[in-house]
Order: sequence, then structure tokens, then C-alpha cells
Amino acid sequence: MHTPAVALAWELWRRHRKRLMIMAGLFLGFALVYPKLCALAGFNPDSPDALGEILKKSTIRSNAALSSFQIAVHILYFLFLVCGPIGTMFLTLLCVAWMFTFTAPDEKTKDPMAFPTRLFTLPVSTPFLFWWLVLAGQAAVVAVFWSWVSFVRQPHLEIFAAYHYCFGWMTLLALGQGIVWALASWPLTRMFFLSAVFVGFTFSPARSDIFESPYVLPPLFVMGIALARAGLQKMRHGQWQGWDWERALSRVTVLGEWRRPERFSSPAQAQLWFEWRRFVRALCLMVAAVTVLPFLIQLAVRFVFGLGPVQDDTMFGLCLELPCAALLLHGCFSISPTRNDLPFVMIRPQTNGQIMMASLRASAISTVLSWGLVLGVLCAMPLLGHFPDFEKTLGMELHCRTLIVMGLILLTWRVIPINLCFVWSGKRNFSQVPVLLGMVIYAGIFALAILSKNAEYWDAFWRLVPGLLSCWVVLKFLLAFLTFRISLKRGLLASSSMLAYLAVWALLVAALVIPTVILFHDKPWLFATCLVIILLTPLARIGFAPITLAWNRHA
Amino acid sequence: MNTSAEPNAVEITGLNRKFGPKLALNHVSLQVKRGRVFGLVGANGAGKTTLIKHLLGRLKAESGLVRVFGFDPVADPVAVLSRIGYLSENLDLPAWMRVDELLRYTAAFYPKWDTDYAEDLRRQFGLDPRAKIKTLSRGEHAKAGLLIALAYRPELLLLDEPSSGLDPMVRRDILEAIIRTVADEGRTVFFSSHLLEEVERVADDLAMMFNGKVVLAGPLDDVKESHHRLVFRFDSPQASTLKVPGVLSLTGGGQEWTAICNGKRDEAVAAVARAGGRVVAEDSPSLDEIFVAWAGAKTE
Amino acid sequence: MQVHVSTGDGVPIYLQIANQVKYLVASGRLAPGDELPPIRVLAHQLLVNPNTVARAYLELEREGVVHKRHGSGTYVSDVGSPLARKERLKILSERVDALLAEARNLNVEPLELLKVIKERSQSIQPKENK
Repeated sequence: MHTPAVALAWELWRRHRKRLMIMAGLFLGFALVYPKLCALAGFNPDSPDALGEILKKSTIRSNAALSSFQIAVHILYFLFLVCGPIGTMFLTLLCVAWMFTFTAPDEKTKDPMAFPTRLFTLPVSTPFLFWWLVLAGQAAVVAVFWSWVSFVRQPHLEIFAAYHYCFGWMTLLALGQGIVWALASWPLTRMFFLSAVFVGFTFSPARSDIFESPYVLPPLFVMGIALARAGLQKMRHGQWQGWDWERALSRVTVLGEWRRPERFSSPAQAQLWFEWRRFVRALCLMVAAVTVLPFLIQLAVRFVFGLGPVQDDTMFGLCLELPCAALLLHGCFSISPTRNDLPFVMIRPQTNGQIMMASLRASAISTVLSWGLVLGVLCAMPLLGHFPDFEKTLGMELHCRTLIVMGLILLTWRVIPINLCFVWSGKRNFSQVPVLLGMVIYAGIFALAILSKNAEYWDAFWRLVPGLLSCWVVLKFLLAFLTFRISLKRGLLASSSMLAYLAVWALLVAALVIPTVILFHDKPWLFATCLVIILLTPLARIGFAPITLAWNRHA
Repeated sequence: MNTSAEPNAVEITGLNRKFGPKLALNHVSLQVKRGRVFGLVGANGAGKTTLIKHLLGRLKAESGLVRVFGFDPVADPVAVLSRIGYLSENLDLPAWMRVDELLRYTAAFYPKWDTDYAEDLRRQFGLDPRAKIKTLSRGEHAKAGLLIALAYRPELLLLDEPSSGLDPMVRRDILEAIIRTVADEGRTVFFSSHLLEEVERVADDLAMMFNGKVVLAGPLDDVKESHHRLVFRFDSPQASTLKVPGVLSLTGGGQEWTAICNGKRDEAVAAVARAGGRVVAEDSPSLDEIFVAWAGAKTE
Repeated sequence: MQVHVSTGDGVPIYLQIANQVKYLVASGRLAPGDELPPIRVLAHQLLVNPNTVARAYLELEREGVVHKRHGSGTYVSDVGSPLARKERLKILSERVDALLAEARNLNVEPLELLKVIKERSQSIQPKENK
């Protein structure tokens, strides 16, 4: 290695060797093998209306000769042909962008994206480091992008048109580097902003128009570069540290400390307090910041500055976004791997079951408080402007909306318990499963969007759904039985706790299923919906969590 | 299980542990008697922390037996952990807690927690109750960890390299805590260290580990008495490749050589006499010298 | 009672304590009938294992330097006891051994050394008479 530039390149290669080879392999596979697969299926990806063509060509002969399994395979293959290239290109570019933030998980501080500060003890100047990483990163992104676009025949789809915009990817890289380096001292805040950027990049409406407008991407690009430059500089010289949310909000956080008992009455109460102070308080404050604060600002804008009432469609958007805020924040928290306190908790004389129950109770408290805030703000919405006529716009009545809100509350609560069994396992690969599952769900939504274009496939899919769900429910109960039995036998979970949880589970399911059955007893999708409710309420993973915690506790 | 009938606080038999290709513990067997201070010494990487983690149940025994007061730390973590006070080498107290919150939280898990005693210790250690743990210095962090390990008067005080990286004041506090634990009510202390002068001061029993094996174990006085430091003087200068059977280590040059031997003193003296030398001085080596002698012997 | 121990010099700690107590008694800094500190207190003061202090006290009791008084403490024995005198002479002989070794190193004959001792003893005595 003759120069620092080569040394850095070698380090990148060495660290990501396997990933790079997998990406190269996938690229070659799609470049060489994919056209042959398309030819076999009689699908011409280059044609202007590729989707229409394939929909015309691939109709399932609607007779009973094809079993459900074969239909499922058919659908999956169809989805692969249509979405495979673009999905892989998406993931590859994301991976390349992540590689050039030059971060790695840090064992000591449990930071998932820690910049190697040993680089700062080497005689390389910060501008050199910055320019190398930025230029090499942009070059890599552009190179990968153009090779995918030029050599792989990708079917043209409206939904994915935005991802064929190179500058969008370059901006994503610049913003990613900027946020990761500038917010290195605040991992939680950084995770929040990164998620916001990711969500904006993938979910914002009319992406291609937004991306091509000169008012959106170029400023973001410049901002990302500036943040990256400042961030590296500050990281090197230890500035921008020591400023703490806690200290800034110390007045407000005092609100979160109720009259504490002199002494906790039981270990369970102590552990619940621990979880409260560790995440519930911060999470609820974040929800408040995201829901109450904008509301108050809007209120001030209306009444103090005398601007008119908020427009109908903005109100509508706000009413839809507020419920999602609580759910999103809980979701982000549940997959965040900041679990530095586990060794301390595991030394205390308490069983794994007791640790888990405290976590379940704490997430219940945080759900109730967050949704209390959200519903409070929703009820106060009429102050902002004319409350939109939901009945007409959504076509839903009040009891429907209530049921949906209850469903959202269940979703908000469940997101932490279901990931306990992965995050607590102490095995790095296993604890990444929630993120993978999230990506699978995301991919599934896209897949459904594509499927909905073909009436025959759509019907076939819906015919499969009740069967699939039933199998899934049986599997769920089987796994729950097995995991609870093992947990009880090994003394990881007290039978009283298990019975208490089963009672809570039954109550939650009943609270949602019974109104659904009463209200929609004549609808064809009733059975599937009830199965979905049963599937959504965590059971097997709760039995599994003490077992994975034991893997960590007794390596 | 009636724990008062158990004579041994800790019983380890034939314990093996592998981390990948590396054998961290090689057929380790130990007994720690109640009411005594047991010192475990070894170089860095000898396996001391791995052994202690087995006692806490943080590691599961791959083969062999681990029993603390008769309980298996993996099968019965609550029974074992409620009797152990543990101070780890790492700073693993939750950074976001305050000192008073830490005391209150820990107190809930141990029925025998003595609030007045905890308060005494806190004042003695000079810890501000409203200080956040992440603002504490390394020494104060260690004192906080020691405080919550002592306040409920555990039957077994387990210290993993308690003095590493700490200033002499904090080290004194830790030594005092060890002595107080054993002097009052005859509780047991198990600590690992590579600060041998501390081990010499407070340990009753000693075990020495090298590369995952226990090479020496027994009462400290016996260990010290069985080791001799001999100074030999030969009639003619000896080559630097001189070897004397029965000695652990041999240093020196020319006519005068210093050897440390363990129990094989007569054999060494006889061999030296045959080679034309005699003993000119003899006394007891310090634990430091014994340790270095064994380290040298093990690397050959 | 000012006693100091040091690790690493080869002499077992309990022996160091015992020797120092014997020296204190012999030099008069500990008078007969004085109480030695309780085992626990001395262990805390010196930062050594209480068992080590106990062993030192046992050793001293065995040699008659101290004695236990109906479980309420350890006290220095009378000077006149024959064992104590034997102990005092033993301490001095060790000192004499060291002195003789040093004299040999400095090439001074034992007879000459005796002369030096007599001279020094005479020059000290007049000061005590005043």
C-alpha cells in the first residue's frame, strides 16, 4: 500500500469483501441469466409496456388443474421477473451508499454505525479523508447505477421510475454521509433522521416529479456534502459532543419523575421503573415532540399571527399522519440495537421471564401514553380549522374508524414485544432479523401493488389467502405451545406470568375480533380479517423471548 | 438444598471452555472454602474472567461442573445471583442512572439490603447521590459498583480484577471492603488480580492460572513456604545455557546464579553440588517472583 | 501501635508483624500490660487478611511475648518472663549477625568490632546520666 488513498480503498474492499462479491454475482446473474429466463417465459422486458405484455401472456388457466402451491409458485416467479432486477439494484445501491459512510458496529459502545476514530490518529488530513470518501462514494454509486441500467434489461414500470434517476441516488449518498457523520454523537437522533430520509426516498408521492425538480434534490445534495464536511471535522476534534437532549429538556424531563417510593416494593416494580427510565420516558417525549409541538405551532400560526384556518386537505393529511407517528417511533425504537444495559440487568437475581414481563408492561405504558397524546391532539384538531368530512372522504363510519384506531394501538404495542426475542439474543446476525422482516414487508407491499394490476392473479391470490392464513395460525399456535413449554420447563418463565399473558392475549384478541364480527358479519373477508387479528397479536415470540435471552445470559 | 451444609462456597470440577479454536479453560478444578479469601492470579488472557463468568452463569459450562453454594448458575440463576455481590472489571453500570436511583433499583432485588449501611458506604466513598453515572470518573464508577455489591452483605463477594486502572485511594477502599467482608460474619471473597502484592496481603488461598490451566492451588502460606530462592555460586563461570533440574527459573551469569524452585530444593542443590557449585544464600521469594518464575517455566 | 508491612520482600507478613511487635516490646515502645489492637482493627489498619494478623498474634502468644486475657484482648507480657528475655536476645542476635556480615565485608575483624561497641557504649552512657 503506497498511499493513504490506496490504503483506504483496501480497507473498504477487505471489510466488505463478501458483500461486494455477492453484489457482483447478482449483477452478473441478472445481466446474463435474466434475459434467458425472460425468453423462456416469453417476456420481453425492453418493450414499452412490459407489464401489460406479461399480464397478457401469463394468464393462469382458471381451472382446478393447478394446485394452490403451483399457483403460489407461478405468482412468485412472475413477481421475480418483474421486480427482481429493480429490487436488487435498489438494495445494491443502498449497500454501496452504506459502505461509503465507512462505519461499522462498535462492540464497546454498541453503536451500530461508528466511524473508526483510529483514522484520525493517522497523518491524514480531514479534507483528504472527506474528499476521498465523497468522491469515491459518488463515483461508485454512479458506476454501479449505470452498469445496472445499461447492462441489465429492466422492465419499465411506473412505480419504479424514480429509482432510475441517478442524481437521486447521489443525493441519498450525500445525505447519508452527512447525517451519519454530523450526528455521530447522537445515535438515536441520527437513526431518526436516517429513517426519515429513507422513508422520504421510498414513500414520498410523485417521486419522479419531485426528483426532477431543481428545488428539491440539488439543495439536499449540497446540504449533505456540507454536513459531511462539518461532521468529519467536528468528529475529529471531539466537538459537538456533550450536548445532551436530557440536559436541554431537563425542565421537561422532571415531569417524567413521579413521586418515587422510598423503596420499591418488589423486583418487578424495580424492573418496570428501569424500563420506564430507559426508554418509555424518552419515547413518549419524542411522540409529544412530533405530535403536540407541530400542533401548537400551527395553533400559534392561526391565532397569534391571524392566518386563516388550515386547508381541508392539509387537515386530512395531518389527521392521517398523527396516528402513524406513534407507530413509527415505536417501530424505530424496537429495532434499535442500543441494549448496553442488558449485562447489568442480567446480573440481578431475576428470571428471564421477569425481565420480559417488565418490558411488556413498559411498552404497554408507552403505547397508552403515546396514543393518549395522539388522540388528545386529534380531538383538539377542530381548533385548527374545519374538521374534514371523514365520513364522505374515507367512506367509513365512526365505528369503523374506532376499530381501525384500536387496531393501530395494538400494532403500536406489539412492535416492541415481537422484536425482543431477536434483539435480546446477543447474536449479531439473529438480531438483524427484524430489519430483514421489515424489508420483506416493504417488498411484499410493492409486490401486492404489482399483483393488483392483473385481475386474474389478484383473484388467485385472494383465493389462496384464507388457506395461507389458516396454516400460519396453526403454525403460530404450535410454535407458541413449544416455546412456552420449553420456557416453563427450564424455569425461565413462571407459570403465573404465562397465564397472565395468555389472559391478556385472549382479551386483546377478543376486544378486536368480537366488534369486527358484529359489525361485518356479512362481509366475505371477515374470516381472513379475524385470522389476521389473531396473527398480529404476539404469542410464539413471547414464549421465545426468554429462551433467546438465555442464549445471551448463559453464553 | 441446605446451603449451610455446603462447606465450599464454590466448587468447579473439570471445567473446559473453547472460544473458536482457542482453549480458554483447560480442565480447571477449584474449591473455594467458606469464610476465606481466594485469590486467582494469572497473566492477561489466562482465563480468569472466563472462569468468573462461569460462576455468574454468563457462560455455560461446555463440560465439567460449576456449583456455587451447591446451585448451578445456569439452571438456577436467581438462587446463585442473590447470594453473590459482583464487581466487574468493565464499566457496565447503566450510564443514564443516577447514583441514588442505582441504589434504589438494586435494593429491590435483595431482601437483605441494608439501607443505612449503603448510605454509610456512599458517604464514605464520597459519591454524590444526584450525580449521573456517565459523569463519574473511573474510580468513582468502581466505587459505585463496589457499593451496590456490598450493601446487602452477600455471602460471596466476587471481584474481577477490581483494581485495574484505579488509583491507590480506590484500591485501598477495595482492599478494605475485602477485609471487612471476611472479618465480619465470615463471608467469602473470590477475586482475580494481577496485582500480586494485593493478593499477598489479603488472600488466604491462592490459585495461579496460565493459558487456561491451574498450575498452582492451595493456601497462600503453603505456596510461599514451598518456594525457595537460592543463590548459587559456581567455582567456574557457567554458560548461559545452564540448566539445573528441579528449578522453575534460573537467572544470572558467570559464577553466580539465582534460582527459584518449588519443593524440589534438595534435588536442585544436589545437582548444583555435582556441577561444582554451592548455595550461598537462600530465602523466600515474593509472590511476584514466584509468578514470573512460573510464567517463564510455562513458556518453555 | 505503628507497624508496617511490605509485600515482596520474602518475609511472610505474619512474621513481619510478629517481629515488629517483638521489637517494639524490646525497645520499650510497648510497655508490659499494654493492649494490642484487636485483630480486626489491625487488619484494617495494615490492609491485610485478619487471618494473617491472627496468626501473628498466635505466634507471639506461643513465644510468650503477649498473652490473651479471658477473651477480652491481647496484652503484652511482663518483661521479666524468661521466654521474653530469650526473645529479646534472639532479636539482638539477628542484628549482630547482620553487623558481623557487614564488618566482614568491610574487612573489619570481630575483635576490632568489639572495641568499637565498647567505645560507643561508653560515649552514649554519659549522656544518659545527665
